[in-house]
Amino acid sequence: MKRYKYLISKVLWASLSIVFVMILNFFLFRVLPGDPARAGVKDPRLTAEAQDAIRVRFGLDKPVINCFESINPLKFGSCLVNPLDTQFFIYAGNLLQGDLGTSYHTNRPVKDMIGESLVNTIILIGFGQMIAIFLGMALGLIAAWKANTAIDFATLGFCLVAWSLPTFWLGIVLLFAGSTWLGLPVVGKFTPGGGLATGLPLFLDVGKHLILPTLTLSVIMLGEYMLIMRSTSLEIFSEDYILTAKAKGLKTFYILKDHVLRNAMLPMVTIIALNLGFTVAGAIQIESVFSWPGLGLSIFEAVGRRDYPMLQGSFLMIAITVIFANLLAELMYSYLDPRVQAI
Amino acid sequence: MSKTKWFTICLIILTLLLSACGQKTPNTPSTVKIGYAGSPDTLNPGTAILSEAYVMFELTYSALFGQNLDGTYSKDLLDSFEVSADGKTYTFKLKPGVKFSDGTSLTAKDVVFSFNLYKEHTEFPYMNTYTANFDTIEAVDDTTVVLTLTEPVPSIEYLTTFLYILPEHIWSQYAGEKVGEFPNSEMVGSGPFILMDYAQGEYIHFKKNPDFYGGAPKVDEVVFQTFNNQDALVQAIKTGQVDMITEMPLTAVATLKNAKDVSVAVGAPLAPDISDIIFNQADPENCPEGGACTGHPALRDPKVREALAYATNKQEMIDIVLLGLGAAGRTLIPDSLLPWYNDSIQDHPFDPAKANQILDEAGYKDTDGDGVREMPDGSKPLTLRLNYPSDSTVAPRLSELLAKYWEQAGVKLEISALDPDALTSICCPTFDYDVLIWGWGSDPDPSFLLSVMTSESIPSGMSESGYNNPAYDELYQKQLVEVDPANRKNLVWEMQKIVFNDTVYIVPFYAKAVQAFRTDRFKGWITDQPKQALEDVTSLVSVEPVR
Amino acid sequence: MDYYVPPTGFKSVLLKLRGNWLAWAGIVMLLTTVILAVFAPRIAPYDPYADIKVSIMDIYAPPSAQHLLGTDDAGRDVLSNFIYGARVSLIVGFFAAFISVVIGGLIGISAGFFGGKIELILMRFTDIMLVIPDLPLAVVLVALTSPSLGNIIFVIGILGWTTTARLVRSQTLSVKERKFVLRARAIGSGNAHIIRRHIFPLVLPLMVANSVLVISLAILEESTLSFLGLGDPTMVSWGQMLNYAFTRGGVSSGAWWALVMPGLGIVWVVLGLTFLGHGLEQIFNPRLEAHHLSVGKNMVVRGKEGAGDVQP
Repeated sequence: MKRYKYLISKVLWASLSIVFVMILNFFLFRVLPGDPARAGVKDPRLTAEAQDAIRVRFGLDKPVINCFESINPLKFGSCLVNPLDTQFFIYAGNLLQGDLGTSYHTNRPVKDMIGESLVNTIILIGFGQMIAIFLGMALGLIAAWKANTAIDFATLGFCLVAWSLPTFWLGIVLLFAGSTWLGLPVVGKFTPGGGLATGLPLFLDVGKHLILPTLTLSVIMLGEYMLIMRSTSLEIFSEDYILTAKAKGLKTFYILKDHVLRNAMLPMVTIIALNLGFTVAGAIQIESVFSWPGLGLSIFEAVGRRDYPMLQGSFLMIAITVIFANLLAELMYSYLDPRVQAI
Repeated sequence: MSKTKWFTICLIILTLLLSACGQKTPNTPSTVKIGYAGSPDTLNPGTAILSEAYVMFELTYSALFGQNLDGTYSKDLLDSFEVSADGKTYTFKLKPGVKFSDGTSLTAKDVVFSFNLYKEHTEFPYMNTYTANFDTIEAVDDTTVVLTLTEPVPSIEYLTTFLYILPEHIWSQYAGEKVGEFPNSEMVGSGPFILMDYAQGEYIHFKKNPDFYGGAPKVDEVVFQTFNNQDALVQAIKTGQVDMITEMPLTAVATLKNAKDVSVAVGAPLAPDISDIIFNQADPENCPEGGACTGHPALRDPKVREALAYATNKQEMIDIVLLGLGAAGRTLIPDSLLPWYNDSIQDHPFDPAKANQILDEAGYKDTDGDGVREMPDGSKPLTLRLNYPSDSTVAPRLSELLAKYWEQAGVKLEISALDPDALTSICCPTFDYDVLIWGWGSDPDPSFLLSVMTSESIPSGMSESGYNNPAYDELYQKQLVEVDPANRKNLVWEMQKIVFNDTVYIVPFYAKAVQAFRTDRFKGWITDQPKQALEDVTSLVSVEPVR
Repeated sequence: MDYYVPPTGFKSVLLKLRGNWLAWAGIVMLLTTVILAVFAPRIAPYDPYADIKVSIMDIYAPPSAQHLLGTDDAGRDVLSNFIYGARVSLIVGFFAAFISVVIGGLIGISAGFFGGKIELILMRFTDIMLVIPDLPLAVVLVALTSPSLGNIIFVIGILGWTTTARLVRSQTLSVKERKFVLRARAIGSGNAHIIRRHIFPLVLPLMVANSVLVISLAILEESTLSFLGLGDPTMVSWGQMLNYAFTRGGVSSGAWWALVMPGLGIVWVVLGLTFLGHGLEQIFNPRLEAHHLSVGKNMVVRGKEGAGDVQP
């Protein structure tokens, strides 16, 4: 019973967080009147009437919420007059139907644009995480096994430095080195004209373009995984059953594999889920540097173009995903570790 | 396995090998790969705003007239046309036998449908301005369209060149509100190229239209690849990943000039962006509704503005900001807008002494010796606020240079960058600023750029300067309806002289278009015209592979 | 409830610091940066805010005798920009972190001390803020307001308090139950008095250690925001230098000096602060050390106590 109570309370709090984010999201973007009629360079052909017509199309002629007649300047009205025909409720209603709005820049539904770029971000994060986890766990295990020796200090040092690197700077350095000395492609997902390729050539092409961005992400995340693996392993090493195993004469390798690794998986798995927010931040920077066409780059460009619906939709998507991932991690952890009862 | 099976397998492998070998013969399509740092905002000709989208429309659609690189127009879809004596009725005869890329015929009803579509939808950003004078459009027969106007217009060519002819059978399903959201991902048109593949923000891939009425292009395919980073364009062309780039960071020009098999082309851009320095001249007594009109009073004195123009070192600005790749500006009409650009205007030379002299004579003296002049009545020092959009690449350096120059004339600047939306709210029609650095896109016809200096643009917010000159307004109205090209040119030239002498704006420069192409891939790039746009349809139908 | 009494006197701190090489390394690294920033006008060979008198040859010039680290896209001396850049990075770091720590401290003490509904609301709010990803929100906030130094400091400050709040709350909770607090209540001391005289002095050392790490995060965040083009364009900062170098043809010009140096600066100061922070944490709260980077037995996962989330 306690277990169910715990689960339900966690789910409730996650839902509350999501609602909070939605409200925050809406008002954030309505504080400054973003203007769909201003996309692109100022053009004298864009008459005042055309601009007004564009604004009407995006529903920006309606009051934001009826307690305030307008936000900028702040004018108060009656909360009761037709509350549903306001921007806020229209927004909320659309959201419930899965409609994230229409981009000011391309006139396409935001959720389509997000969907296209999300795939690329998932590819990037997926490969990056895999490499980081694999290397991180291996290095962490070695460092713990050789604790307090030179190897340990070297890896610790490396991790602290990796922690302090700005993600985008590492990307720039790798981009520079990679393109100048190794001739690796440094921009985009395919070579020009390669969009129509299929099968193996496409795979290889994308793979080549993926090398440097993935490497950047892996190095940044590596340090943290290594450190966690190391400290978890150290704790496990001090447990009695390891001593028993050694006394029994089991080879080190098998001890590491069967006992330590398996028990260390638990915290690692939860960390990966919890890390999602940080990974997203890294993805934004890496995609901007390498022009990798993912969600991070879309956000970055939407900022530059003041494409507020796109920003709003992307931000909401990311926040909800991170909240959800956190919830999953907490639930998973409580399931796997019976010692966890209370909040 | 049985013998038959082995035999079949060998046969299959052999066939595959042969077909693979076969692809090595010169049947591989010749594909022009173009790199650029933007991308179309949408493929919908009604709602598109960015010039990149218009490049794509030029490749896939036809219009009645097409624009040439020297500023003249030529008939595209038209065989011939007639205009009535009162100038209000045009009879267009279309070329017969034109087909859309899906095989259907292009007839007069498609033209009528398209024009009506553009006319009705007020939310199409640019289309209203073109169809403003359209009254009725009718198809008399399959190849004849009659257009009646409410007023005669100077240039029907200009008005129709961006009204791309859309296939009625496809677009009529999207009538009403929804037509702006139609992504048009097939782009069925009648132009020299046909869309093959499009990934928004990444690339757009065309193949040639072998049945194009103007003659099929000499290359098979064209790809525009988006690079979000200008630097990467340079790497890409050096390594041969692309065959032509439409822009580059100016610092890379020297590198590319020395690169093997790469040729750099510099010329006047097809669709120039014009940077300008705007003075707030709005009269507080006559402030538009809702406006603040807080401009520094000194700026309403044309002598002050003129002095500041003398104090501005345009050549140094070009050298530092554009690395020398620009020409000194005069008015909002750029030097590439032929024949409208008034090249007889003599620019003010850089002469700080003269600037100081003008200000002294006008009574703006520095009475308290702090290096900053004051108003003649001693009331306010000549300290001006300067704002620019935070996303501008040239404005930060320009503002630093201006501060340096105008300090020598005794005028102090307080600089701050603003978010573009914030900038709009202080600019017009609020007029709550002193000096702005901003810019305009341009248009093949000078009317729109000229209109921002008329007094009737002040209340709508199109006028940023608040300049109010009835003589100028009158000339503007006249040229709007002047049908004779030579007369119209004279009027437009006169207008430029007026605003230049009144220093309504200081236009520091007209930036040049800098592009590069590989010499070992394709030849026939059109670089000898007054305007340069290697990505324009004129080049792309002419280039052929280097054999 | 075990009783670790952190050293509160300055002398006792110094004593503990003596053996801690990590903290000393950090102090040295930090001091060099501060000296560079403070004495920038004396040390830098050129003034980055002065007039530009350059020709085309001076742009992206490689390191030479006149310009030890070469020039940037406007012909300015990279070394001087670097030295002055330290100022902005440090100023933003310190002030933003100050805002974060103050907010976090207030929330943490209130939650821990008053308990009940107040604690529930505050901690839930903290949870939500913790989960919302920092960089996208910061990007959005700075983009919506104007890109000035003050705004950046403000935005980074109001987003960085969550880990401090948790830390302070947990320490407040443990202090609250101590005998001398109960005694103070018994003799009728008011809440404010108890907080000021008993709780705060024991919470402060942890806040100091934590704030060092918050500063490092703030510096990283500022450089990221500036790199993405959201920095104050009138100020020279390391992130801004990287933005200009990257977006204005640095890579294609082969200008490694403009691309590498500012990043090294960021790494140096962040690393120094990290060392110092870890060292201080070891002194002030060795109990937490095991939890700082690890997932411990009581579900104190990364980011909920100690230094918290890594870089933005």
